[in-house]
Amino acid sequence: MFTHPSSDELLEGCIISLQKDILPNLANEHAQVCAVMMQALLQCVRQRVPVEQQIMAAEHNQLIGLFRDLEPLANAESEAGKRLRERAHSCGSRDELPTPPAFDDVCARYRDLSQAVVETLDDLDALISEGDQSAQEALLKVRTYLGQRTATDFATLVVGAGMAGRG
Amino acid sequence: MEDQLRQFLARQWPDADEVEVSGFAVIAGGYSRETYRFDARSRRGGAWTEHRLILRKDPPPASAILGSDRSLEHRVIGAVREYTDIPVPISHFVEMDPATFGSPAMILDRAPGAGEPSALFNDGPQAHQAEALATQLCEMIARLHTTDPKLLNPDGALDDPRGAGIDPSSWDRYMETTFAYYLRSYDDLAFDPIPVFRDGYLTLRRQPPPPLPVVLCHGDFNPANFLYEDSRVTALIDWENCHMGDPREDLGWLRLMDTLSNTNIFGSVTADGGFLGHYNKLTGFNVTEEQVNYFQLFMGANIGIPVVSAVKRRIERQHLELMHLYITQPVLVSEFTFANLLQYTMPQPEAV
Repeated sequence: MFTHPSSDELLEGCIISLQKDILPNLANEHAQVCAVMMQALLQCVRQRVPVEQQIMAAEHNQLIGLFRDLEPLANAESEAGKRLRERAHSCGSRDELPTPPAFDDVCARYRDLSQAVVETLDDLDALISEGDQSAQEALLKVRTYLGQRTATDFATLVVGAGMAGRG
Repeated sequence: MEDQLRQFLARQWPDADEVEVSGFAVIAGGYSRETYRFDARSRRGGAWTEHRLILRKDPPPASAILGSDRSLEHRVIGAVREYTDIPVPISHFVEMDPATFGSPAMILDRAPGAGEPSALFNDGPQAHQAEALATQLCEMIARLHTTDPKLLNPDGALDDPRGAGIDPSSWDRYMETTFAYYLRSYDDLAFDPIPVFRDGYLTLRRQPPPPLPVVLCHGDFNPANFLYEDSRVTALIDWENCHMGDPREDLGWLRLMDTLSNTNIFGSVTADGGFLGHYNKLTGFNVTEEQVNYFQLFMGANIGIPVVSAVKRRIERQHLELMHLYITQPVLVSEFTFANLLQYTMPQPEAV
């Protein structure tokens, strides 16, 4: 998977293009307002994507803590009291989620290892040219990994067929 | 811009008493140049002459996806018109002074016909024209490859138009210097580690095919670079990447661009058993499917280097064009295609 352009860079590119390429050419006021709304929503996604899993996991764990704190306070014998106690017990006894690593950190680590594969290919090329049979086997292993990775990229990231604007 | 064009044309046509320009409009589609259509009228005495024209100008250097020379393109179009019967629009003028149009530019005839290759395939509305057009394209590229390069490239300006150190004095030297260019250019294009590209470039160098004569290649022979009308190719356009090279480059690039464009020119020829059979019969070469596959990778590198380098400059924010982010889509498809050509073991996707 490419770490660049990132989802954030793609979204920012769309916001810039809306401003630079689209808005000046929109004659209809409703369309102009829609374009500005699109910019706002795209900016919202930019702000949300990198942190939403971390925030959600952290708040999930805070919610469990909240229900643990509520259980001893739910003493009433009424139906509402019983429901409150049972819910607090059930929700407060759930397992906590691990906090996902920061997106930037995952990207940096992935990129480092991908670059190491590029450098490995150079060394394997030199060894294969020298007739090293084990380098040939190593290249096959690298290619098996890259085949899986490329297929995943293709299935995950490619949108539609053809090239926009080229007839 | 209409006024700039009118003034320029008035200078080029000193015998005209009056020049008018109208209908100036951008043409979407070309990724590498800024292209505009316009109409001009020139009056000599009481007679008006109509001109359907194209202004083709360079984009700003940072966002240019192919750094090419308008004056060179102007000259090669003239040579192709003079020494072959390949339909090429007349290139009337080249203006290298950026003061005139903002950047170097050419003014060409606007050839008749449409450039809508997607309409020709996948049950498109003009699918009935596909075989005739594909056959003509095959014959045109064969004619280009069998025309004496000394006629088309008399001063050697197309030996190494990018100034990349390419030496086409023999096939071996051409390939050797081209591999060196590809490998040293990887860092310029790698907007992210792209191991499949690196593996492709190294494999090209390790496993070269048998030689063929070095000829003049169109350099961007792809489904978007021809116009057609009534089952007839009316123009082969966009000669900016024209260079001396291996003739199989044009075949490999067409095959690759068929994949990227979701078209099927290569598969639409039936004469002599198909595109390759027809081409081989016309040229006397013996190009195999395996060699075409090799040159898909080879030309993927040739055009990929400047194009993907422009993507890298976008990611580095040297310019802010949207198109360069969009180009990461065909880069991904190219990567997948290269992985197949390199015979990686990989699961096939169910649908694109």
